Amino acid sequence: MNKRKQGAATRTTRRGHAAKTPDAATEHNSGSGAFAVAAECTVADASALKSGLAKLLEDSGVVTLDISAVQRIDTAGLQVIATFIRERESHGRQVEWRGTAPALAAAAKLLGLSSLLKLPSAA
Amino acid sequence: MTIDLTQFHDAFFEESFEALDSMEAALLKLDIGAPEPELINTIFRVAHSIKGGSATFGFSDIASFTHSCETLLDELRSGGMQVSLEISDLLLKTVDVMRAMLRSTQSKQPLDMQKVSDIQFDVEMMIAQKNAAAKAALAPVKSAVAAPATNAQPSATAATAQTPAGGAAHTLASATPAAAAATSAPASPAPSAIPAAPAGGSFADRSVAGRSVAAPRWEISFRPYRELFARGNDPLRMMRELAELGELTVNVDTSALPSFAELDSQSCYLAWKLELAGDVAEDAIQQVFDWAEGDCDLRIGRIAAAPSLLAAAGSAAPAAADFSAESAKVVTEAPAPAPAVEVVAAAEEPKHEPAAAATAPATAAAAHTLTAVKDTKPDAISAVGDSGSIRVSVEKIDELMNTVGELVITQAMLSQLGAALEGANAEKLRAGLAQLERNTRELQESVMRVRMLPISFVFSRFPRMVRDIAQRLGKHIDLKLTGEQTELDKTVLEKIGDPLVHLVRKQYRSRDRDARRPHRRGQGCCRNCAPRRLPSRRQHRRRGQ
Repeated sequence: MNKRKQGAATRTTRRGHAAKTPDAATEHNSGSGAFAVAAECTVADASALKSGLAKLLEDSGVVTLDISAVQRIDTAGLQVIATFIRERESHGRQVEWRGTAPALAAAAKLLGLSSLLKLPSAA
Repeated sequence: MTIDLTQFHDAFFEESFEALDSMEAALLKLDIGAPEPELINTIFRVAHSIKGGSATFGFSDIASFTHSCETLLDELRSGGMQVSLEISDLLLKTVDVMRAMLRSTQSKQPLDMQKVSDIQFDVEMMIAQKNAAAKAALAPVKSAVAAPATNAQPSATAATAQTPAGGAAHTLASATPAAAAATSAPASPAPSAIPAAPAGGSFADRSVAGRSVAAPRWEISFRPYRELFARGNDPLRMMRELAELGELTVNVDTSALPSFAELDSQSCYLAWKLELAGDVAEDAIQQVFDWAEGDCDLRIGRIAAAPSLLAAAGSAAPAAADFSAESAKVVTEAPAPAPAVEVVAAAEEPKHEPAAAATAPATAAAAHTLTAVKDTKPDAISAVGDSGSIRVSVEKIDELMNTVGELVITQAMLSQLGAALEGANAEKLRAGLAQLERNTRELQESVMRVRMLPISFVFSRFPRMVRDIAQRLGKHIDLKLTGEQTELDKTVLEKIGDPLVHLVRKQYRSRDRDARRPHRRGQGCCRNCAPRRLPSRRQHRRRGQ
């Protein structure tokens, strides 16, 4: 899986996207109720993404997902995020988006998950 | 996550080599200046699938290299660059490099990476040059759609005229994204000259765009098994490929999604119901799901062409795309006939919008119209030999041959024994043995035929070689191949290949010498036209050795 990521890194840079974020699969909590989604959200990083989000599942306030760093995402990554949002909403808890991620928006559109994710239209 | 992908390597290599052969053949057929769109698509598909496969298997060098090729091919496909002799030469070189890389990866031998990076550099230079030229030539607003816009004006009228009856829907479908791309251009932070750049808008409006009236529609039910991800498949990739084929409407079924706590991030719980509108062959759809075969329930059905309106589709269409979606709607609802009028409508609708965006989308839309019409041409160049055949390893056939050989011996022995027998039942036995002999012989011949391959298997190497020689000598060479369908045993073919190549090469070398010595001319109109014939005759195989 490591090799795949290297390939992805060169690809994104050549395509002209700003490759400012390090190609790491780690994410960190930027304060209570906020979560920065990592640059890579593929199947290899999905379990890390899941455990990161799990901490915020029961958060009673508004959870903000910062997606501005997301460079690459696949179905597995989106599935985790979609499940998270669906579960929170079923309990009447809110999720908000911060930043935009063309890769995430395009993927959500193609997979038919846009309406579930309620991405801002600018994304 | 640990999946042993090495088990698929052989299949990948085998398929890639075959794909490269067809890519090379397609490149050789490519007309400079006026390339057949389907040929470019064929070439693009090869690069694309090799890239996908090698990335899956972690051959990052190959993936990176093929990615560069793909970008260049994408430019050719979208009409952003014209096929020149230089480009086709370069692409042929990339085929060689890809082949060498695959071979070295397969045999785990080191490869001269210098050559690889040289060629890759050339490819990237070519793209960069094009981008630079496009940026310099066009006004900043237009640069986002630079490629289509350059040849827009002259082709606008042609597009209207050429649109066949019933093709209106296509024209319309592709016109809309183009218009949307153009409008969103000023807003996008870094206007890129590559039309296929994954800008947020271009995908989004696809599913909102007007649906075709006459084009066939496919309904695809795609229910992956849980382990789909673990097998290295990503539905997203498939959707992306489907969206490239035609107008895709996606409906996701999330009913199987468990609670977050129970969610296994490596399992796929989603299922999809897709609708694909466009002139797409079922094979092409099937191909998209090739990699997932056995890891999903897949049903592809044709829907009777009923005029359905806008795709219900994911609501989150970017604001920039809104007006183009509207214009599409207007046209879709118009009556089906009179395609020419519709095209004009699609192209001119945006003019009601603010002046800044008005002309660019109109011309860009028209340009795309033309490509779309070209795309819908009947599939003239189909891949050779992939219809109704299966892949069997040579060992299995050899095994079969051996068993049949044993059977023949046993049968001969029985016949001999039977001939010597006497008695009431002996006649019946002999009749049965005669029948057995016939059947055995037929079986043997059938098995032998399995090993037979057309000689085009060897001949396919000639066009490229002749092209290279012609270029090196600076001469024009016409290569005519006859009798390519003659079948020969595979072993013979393998052995005969190199000597034949040698003979052809020698022919041209000696020809070159002849050309330099005027007194030894051939019989053509001039010394450069003297036909050279490889004295190869094949006699029909005699039956019943």
